[in-house]
Amino acid sequence: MITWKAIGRGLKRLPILKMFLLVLVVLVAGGLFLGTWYLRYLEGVVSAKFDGRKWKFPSKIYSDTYLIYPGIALSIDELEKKLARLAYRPSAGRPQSAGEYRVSRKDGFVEIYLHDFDYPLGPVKGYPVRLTIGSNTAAKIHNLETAEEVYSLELEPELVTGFYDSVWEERRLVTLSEVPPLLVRAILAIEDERFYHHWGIDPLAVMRAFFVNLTRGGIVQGGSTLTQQLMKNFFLDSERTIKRKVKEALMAILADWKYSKDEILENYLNEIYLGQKGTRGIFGVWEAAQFYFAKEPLQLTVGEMAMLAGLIRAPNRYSPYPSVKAATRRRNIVLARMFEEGFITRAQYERALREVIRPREFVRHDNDAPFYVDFLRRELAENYSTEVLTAEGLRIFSSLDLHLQRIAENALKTGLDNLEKRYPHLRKSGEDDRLDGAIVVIRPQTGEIKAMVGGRDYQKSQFNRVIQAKRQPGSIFKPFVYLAALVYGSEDKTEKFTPLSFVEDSPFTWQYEGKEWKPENYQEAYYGIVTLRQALERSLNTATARIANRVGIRNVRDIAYRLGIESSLPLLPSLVLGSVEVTPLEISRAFATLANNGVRTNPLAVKQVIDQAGRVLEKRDVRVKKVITPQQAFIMNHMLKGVFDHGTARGARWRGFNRPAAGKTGTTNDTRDAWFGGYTPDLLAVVWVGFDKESRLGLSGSEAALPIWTEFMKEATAGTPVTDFRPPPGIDLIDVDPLSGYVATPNCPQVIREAFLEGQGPVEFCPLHPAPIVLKGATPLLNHSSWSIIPAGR
Amino acid sequence: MGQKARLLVLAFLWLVQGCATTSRSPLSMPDGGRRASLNVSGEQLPEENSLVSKITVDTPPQRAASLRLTEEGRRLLDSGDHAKALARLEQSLAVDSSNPYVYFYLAMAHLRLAQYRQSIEFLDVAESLLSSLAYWLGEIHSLKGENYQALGLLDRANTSYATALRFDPNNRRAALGLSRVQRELRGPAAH
Repeated sequence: MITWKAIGRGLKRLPILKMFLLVLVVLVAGGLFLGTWYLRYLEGVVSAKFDGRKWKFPSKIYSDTYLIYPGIALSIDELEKKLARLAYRPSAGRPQSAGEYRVSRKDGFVEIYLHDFDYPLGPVKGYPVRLTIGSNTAAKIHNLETAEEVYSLELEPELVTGFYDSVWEERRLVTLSEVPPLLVRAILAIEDERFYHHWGIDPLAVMRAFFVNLTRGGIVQGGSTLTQQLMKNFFLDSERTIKRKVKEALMAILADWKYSKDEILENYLNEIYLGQKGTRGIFGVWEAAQFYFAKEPLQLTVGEMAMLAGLIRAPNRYSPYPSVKAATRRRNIVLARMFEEGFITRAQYERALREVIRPREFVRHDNDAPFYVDFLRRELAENYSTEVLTAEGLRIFSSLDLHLQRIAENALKTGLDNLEKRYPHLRKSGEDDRLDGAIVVIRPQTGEIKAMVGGRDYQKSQFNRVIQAKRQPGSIFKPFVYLAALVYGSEDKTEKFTPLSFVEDSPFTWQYEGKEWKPENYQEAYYGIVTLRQALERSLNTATARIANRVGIRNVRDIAYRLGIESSLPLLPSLVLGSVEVTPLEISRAFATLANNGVRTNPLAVKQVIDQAGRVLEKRDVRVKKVITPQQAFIMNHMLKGVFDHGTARGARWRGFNRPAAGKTGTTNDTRDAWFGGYTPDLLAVVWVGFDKESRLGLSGSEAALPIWTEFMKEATAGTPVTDFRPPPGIDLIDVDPLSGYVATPNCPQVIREAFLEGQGPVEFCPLHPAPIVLKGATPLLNHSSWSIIPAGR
Repeated sequence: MGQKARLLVLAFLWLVQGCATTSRSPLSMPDGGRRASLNVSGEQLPEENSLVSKITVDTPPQRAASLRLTEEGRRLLDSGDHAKALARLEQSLAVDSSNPYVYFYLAMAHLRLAQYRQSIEFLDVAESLLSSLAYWLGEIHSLKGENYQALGLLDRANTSYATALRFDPNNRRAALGLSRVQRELRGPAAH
């Protein structure tokens, strides 16, 4: 048995050399053990990266598609702008490949070779079309491949932005088979020509780099292989130390030992940094091909491939955006190397040298709709975590119309600036109580939210007033009172109301639950007996309160809920003049129900969510519910049209908005909130103006919100067909004398065309202005614009 | 006469009328009262001509585009591609919301996707827009009947089918639905 004592005796007998050898063996064994352990550790790190998730893919948000059909208003200029945003490239001749277009203004056509696009319901292959445009209207569409006429054309959605994590990276994965072999060869030629022959590191390249650097007196060439570069990008920083280089080399050898060359190459092609788009990095060859040339990798020319390969060394120095000259010089170096290596023929080489680098127009996707995107995030948060949204590469298709969004942003910003210029008291000293506003735009037919601006400056405040600001609606609530009157009649069922029903506008006290409520008119002006129409157009408070008193608050509240108000509405008399807080989105939803003939829709922002494999995770459909009859909606719209023509929104006409439209101003009693909600049959916008801290605005809805609404609508509807609200069956349009409430005669000095439910209109002729011959029906008897009884109130 | 007996008589009348010329309903029939046709799946289509045939030189461009998209949606429904049909029909609705046919086919799409309540909502809208066309009212109530039946609301289905036949005694889907529902209402013993 060996004892410690025996070992001690033996050691004493050993010569020094033997002792030294023993220590050496122990050290080597220990070193080997530690080295093996370290290599195993590094192998684990490399494997975890290769076999696990390598990258985070931000989810991408897309706008709505753009449908073109014969007859739609469309100018060549607008179309060109749209095509530029969608990364189409102008071509001299007829477009030959996807993404090209040609404009012929002389002959009035645009030819487009549509992009391929993965729509939520499947991929669509691009094809060439000719769009004939005359008088700013799409006339005909032809498929240039088949020469057949097509009746609608869908332009793909625009990329709005992404949901990013802390690192803003743009990347789309490709497999090796999706990358043209020549691009791979170009990269190998310039970065690692012996890639398929070395084992992760290339001693020859290192020696060559060492020699070059020595002779040049500094570091001008690197000897890193693609595998080393990949390891550095995956795991390490760019610090130039021996320790880091050794680690990188060891990891490269391990990766090369464990994985195939093609696996390493594919990872490299997806990982490599190739430029900067604003705040976002461009990573991988797919994203770079899109960014610089708006092409898929397989569509690149030899020269373009060489340019991309040349970027790897210093993407921002060799980018064509700052200098086409520098990019061309670098590209030519790569081409020369490719030719030397025999990857391209002389003819290819010379042709590629002649290619002029034309990068696509630099389109910043710097989130033109930050409030809208925040809203989408809130909507999606119910089903998707932040981790999923920032890493899983979902594609989110929205209802957003970027064209309308930009108009809305501009209208709000300019409108608020103008208000501050015109009314200096609105400029507060502190930044924390600045005049602000919101605008939301809805397509009434579908409920699609086409644009949303939740505030004046997103950088300063991300508070989205469209959905988060609960404010008193004031008079913008009144249409619900009048609609309740039309729908229910009086609470005791003794009275039916029409727009011509009379109501008294005078001081009034509403007694309820032992309390009293005394509404007052704006500037305390009262007009005596007025019709419902006049009371609504002039936004008369006491007349409205009297109507509500007869109809019943419960019925008013019921109508508000039916139309789409979701906030809790207490049964207080002041409710009828808009004293209960709601959001602009609620008002827009309720008004959209009127615009949509009494059919309520759900606000729709997220349309579809698709995962990276193209599976539909979620589809949100258009949802409808008929809540009032089309006849009731039409009468209401007819009355609200009068607000533009005779009432508080006449300012819109003075500012040049002349389309048929219905709407209502809103001002709270203490003028802290100014509203305007208005719509054509096809487009609705609601504007709110005020202070977050509820400081006094001192302006009415027609002074503060209406100008913003008008500027938005003028531009948003420019060039689109003028449409009016069409009366449904069951509506009688009768020319009446508003003074008597009877059918107008040719002697009546004032005439309006009023809408009634079939059989509810007057049948007798005006007794105040009798005439031997009276006409009834569609032809107006007198000029409507001559009608004006009461001066505008608020 | 009880409700069930009345409905049986209605169904019988429909069968008799199937072999004879029907008298015109007081409400107008589209396209001169052309007979309905069957589609590939054996279901009754409202008209033998496509909706595109409704487009004339006077048709506003929005309506024309919407009708074409609706027709495309209808064909997709026939081919069983309900999701695509729904997307196309929603596009059609956005182009022209006053196109009454799109509501009917949206209702059909939702029915095929088993979204019965939403289908009924679309039918309510279609009904108000097509209220002067007996033929379409027959179709609408017949489809309502299918939705109610799928929801297990047999009495309401019964009423809807009967209403459909009142508007259009030639509505085969309603007649078949009615007899099916009445069999179910009578219970398993009657099968």
